Amino acid sequence: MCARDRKRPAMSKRALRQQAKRMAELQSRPAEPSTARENLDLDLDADVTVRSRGTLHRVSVTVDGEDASGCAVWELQMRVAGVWLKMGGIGGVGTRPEHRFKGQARRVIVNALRWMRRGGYDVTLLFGITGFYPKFGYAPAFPRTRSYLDVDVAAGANALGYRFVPYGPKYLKRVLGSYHRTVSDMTGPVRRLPKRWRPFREGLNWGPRIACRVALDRAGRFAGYYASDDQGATIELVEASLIDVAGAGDVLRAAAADARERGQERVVLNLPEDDPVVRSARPLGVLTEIHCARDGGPLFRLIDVSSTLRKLAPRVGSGFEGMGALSVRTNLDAVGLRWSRGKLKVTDAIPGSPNAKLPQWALGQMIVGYASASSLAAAGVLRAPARAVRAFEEMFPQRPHFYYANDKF
Amino acid sequence: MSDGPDGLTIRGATEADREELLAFLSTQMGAEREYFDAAFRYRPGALWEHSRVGVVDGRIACHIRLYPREMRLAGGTVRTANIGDVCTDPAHRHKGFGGALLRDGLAYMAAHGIPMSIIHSGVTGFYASGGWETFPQRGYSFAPRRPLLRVPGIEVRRMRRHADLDAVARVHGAHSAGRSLAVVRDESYWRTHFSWVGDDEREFLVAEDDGGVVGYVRSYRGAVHEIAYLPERPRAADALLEAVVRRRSKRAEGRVEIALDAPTDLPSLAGLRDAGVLVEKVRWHMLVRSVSLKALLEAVAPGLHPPRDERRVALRSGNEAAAVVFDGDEARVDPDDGADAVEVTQRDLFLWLTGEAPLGASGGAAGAWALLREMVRSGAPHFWMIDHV
Repeated sequence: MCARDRKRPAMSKRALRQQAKRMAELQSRPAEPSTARENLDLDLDADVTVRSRGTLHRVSVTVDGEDASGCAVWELQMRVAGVWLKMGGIGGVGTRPEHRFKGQARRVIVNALRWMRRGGYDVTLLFGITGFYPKFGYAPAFPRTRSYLDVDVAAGANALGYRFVPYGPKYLKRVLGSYHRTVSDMTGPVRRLPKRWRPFREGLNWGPRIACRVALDRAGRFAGYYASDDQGATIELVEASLIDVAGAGDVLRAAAADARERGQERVVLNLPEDDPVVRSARPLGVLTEIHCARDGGPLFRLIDVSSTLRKLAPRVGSGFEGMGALSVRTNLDAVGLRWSRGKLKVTDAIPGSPNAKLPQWALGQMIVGYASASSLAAAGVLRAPARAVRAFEEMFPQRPHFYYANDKF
Repeated sequence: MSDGPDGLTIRGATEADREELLAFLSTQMGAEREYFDAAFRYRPGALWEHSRVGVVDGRIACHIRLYPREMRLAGGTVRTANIGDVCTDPAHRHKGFGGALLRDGLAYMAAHGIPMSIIHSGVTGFYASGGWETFPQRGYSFAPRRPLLRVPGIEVRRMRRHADLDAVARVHGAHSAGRSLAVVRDESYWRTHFSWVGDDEREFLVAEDDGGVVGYVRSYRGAVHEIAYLPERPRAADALLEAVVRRRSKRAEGRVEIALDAPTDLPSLAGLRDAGVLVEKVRWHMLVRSVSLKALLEAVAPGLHPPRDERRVALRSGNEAAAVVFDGDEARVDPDDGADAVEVTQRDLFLWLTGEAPLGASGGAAGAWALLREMVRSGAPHFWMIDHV
C-alpha cells in the first residue's frame, strides 16, 4: 500500500477507536504457543503475493486487487552454537483498518511461514506484540538481559588507555571483522554482510540511531568498538567488541563518562551476561538482571526441524560418547538422531528407537539455550525417556544467548 | 596486637571496650547501639575479640567485626569468618587503616584455623585490594499479575515460637543438607536469634501438612529473606510464597513486588518464569577469600568424591598448592610443590567447590575441570544474606 492510500481513512473514527480497544484487549492477554499439528509444505494461498528486493521480501494478501495485509521477511543468518542458520526476520506486519479482525493477518503469517519453508529457511524470529504470535508457534526464546554498574565504580575500571573516536565508514571492515570474531561462539547474533549491512541503524526502540565509537590503542591502531542506544536523557551500552578483552575496562570508563553526562547514576549494559565487558565488571560488583517474558518481545520458532538439526549436528554431536538413536517428533516435523563415536547424523524418524515428543517451539527454545530439556520435561512439554532427556541436555545446554538491538528489523 | 600506619595499634576488643565500642559503632554505622550490643552478646560463639579495633591515641579509630560461622561446602563443613561492621572515623580515613584491619583479621583467622572469609559489600574495590574476589549471588524479584494459586492441603500460618522452633530447625537442616554456602545453625542459634533478628517475627510463617511443619518463610515488607521446605514437600514453597504475596497485597498499595532471596532450585521459580513475571538477579557483591588452601581442602575433603581415573589431584591457587589424595572413597590432603598441579584462580576455586560453573572451565582447561567436577556433587548453592552478620 502506498503512503497516499494510508492517509485516506476508510472507516469512521468511532470504528477505529473500537478496533484500537480490541487490539489493546488482545495485547493484555499473553497466549500459549501453539502445539497443533502444522503443515508448512502447503502451497501459498492464491491471493498471496511475494515481492522480493534483494534480501527483503514482502508477503501480501490482496483483496479486491489491493494489498489488504502484509509483512516483511528479512533474509538473515543467525549464529547458533557455532553455525549459521538461515533465519527469516518478520517485521512490518500490518493490515488496512477496513480489513482488520477478518483473519487477514493470520493468513499473511501462515503464508509467510510456508514461503520461508519453501525457501530453505531454518528458523524465524520476530519482535511481536503480546497475545498474537504464539498461535503461529512463536515462543519467547531470548531473555531481556541488562547489567548495572555504579558510574563512579565504572569510571575507575582498569584501562589500557584507549582513545575513542566516532565511527566512520573507513572503519566498517574492521568493525565487522571484530564483530564476527566476538560472535563466533555465541548464539543469537546475525551475520552482517559488508554490502548489505546498514551500520548502527536501529536503536532499542527502532530509533534514534545507535551511536558507535571506535577504540584506538596507544599506537592509533583499531582496538575494537562499542555502540550505545542514545535516547538523549538516557544512554545504554548495546554492543561492544574488542580485539583484546583487557580493553573492556576502557569501554566501561567511556560508558561511565557517557552516563555521567546524562546524569545517570548507573551505567546500563544491554549486553549478554557473559559479554567480556560484563565479565570485566564482575570484580567491580555488577548486578545483572535477566527477565524471561511469557509472550511478546523477541519470539522464535523453527521453520524446518530437519535442516536446522542437520546444520547443528557437527557441532552439537562432537562430544557424544558411545552409540544411540532417538526419534524426535514435533508438531512440525519428525526426524531421527543417530550418534556413534562423536558423530551425530540426522535422518528420518527411526522406527523402534525411543521417541521424544515436543512442540517445535520447545525444541527451538532448547536449541538456542533458553530452556533445558529437564525443565521442559518437568513441565510436561517434552515427553521422552530419561536417557533422551539427558542426550538433549548434552546436545543443547542452557547458555547465555542474545540478539543485538542494532540488528532489529 | 599489631602496629599499623600513623600510630595505629590494632587489637581484639575486650569487655572493657564495650561502652566506647558501641558508641563508636552507632555513630559510624548509623545503627542503634542496642543492635550491636545484642548481636555481639547473643550470637552463638560471639567473642569481644571478634571485633578488631584500631586505636590511635587511646581512642578507637576504626573497626571490623568477624562473624565466625560453620558453612557447608562441597559436601563438607568449613569454618568461615564473615566480615562486617567495617568503619573508620572520618578524621582517620585514607590512611590505610581499613587495609591494616583486614590484614589483622586474616592473621586472626589463620591463627584460629579459619580457612575462608566472606564479605558482602557494594565497595568491592577496597576488599579486592586485600585479596577478596567477587562471587555471584543469585536472587529474584517478581510482580505477580494476579494472586498466586492457593495450594490445597497445605495450611500457612504465623510461626509460634515455642511450639514450632524445633520443627523449623529440622526443616532448615533438611533443606540445607548438602547445599554449599548454607550456614550450619545449631540449637543455640534458633533459641537466641529472636534477640537480635529484630521484628521480622511477624512475617515468619510456617507451612503445615498433615499436622506437621513442612516449610517456613521469613520475610519483611515484601522481601523474602529465607524460604525452606522439606525436600519431599516442594509444594510447601508455593504455598508459602502465595501467603507472602497475599499478605503483602493486603498491606501494600498499588503493584506488589516481591524480592526473593532463594536458591535456583526453588520449585516455584519455574512457574513464575513461565508466567513471565520473574526477574533473575545475579549480584557480584559477595566477596570470598581463601585464607589457607590446604585447610580449606582438608575441611571439604570428607565430602569429595574420587574421580574415575585419578587417585591424586593437586591444585594450585595463588602462592599455595595442595593435593587431594584418595584412599578408596576416603580423601586426605597432602602438601604439594604445585609443579603438576591444576592451576585455579581463587574465584574458580570457590565456583568449583560450590558446584557453579567455573569461569575458566573452557578451552584447554576443560579437561582439568571435568576431572575436578567429578569430585564435587553439590547443587544449587545459596548463602542466605540473613546469615551474614
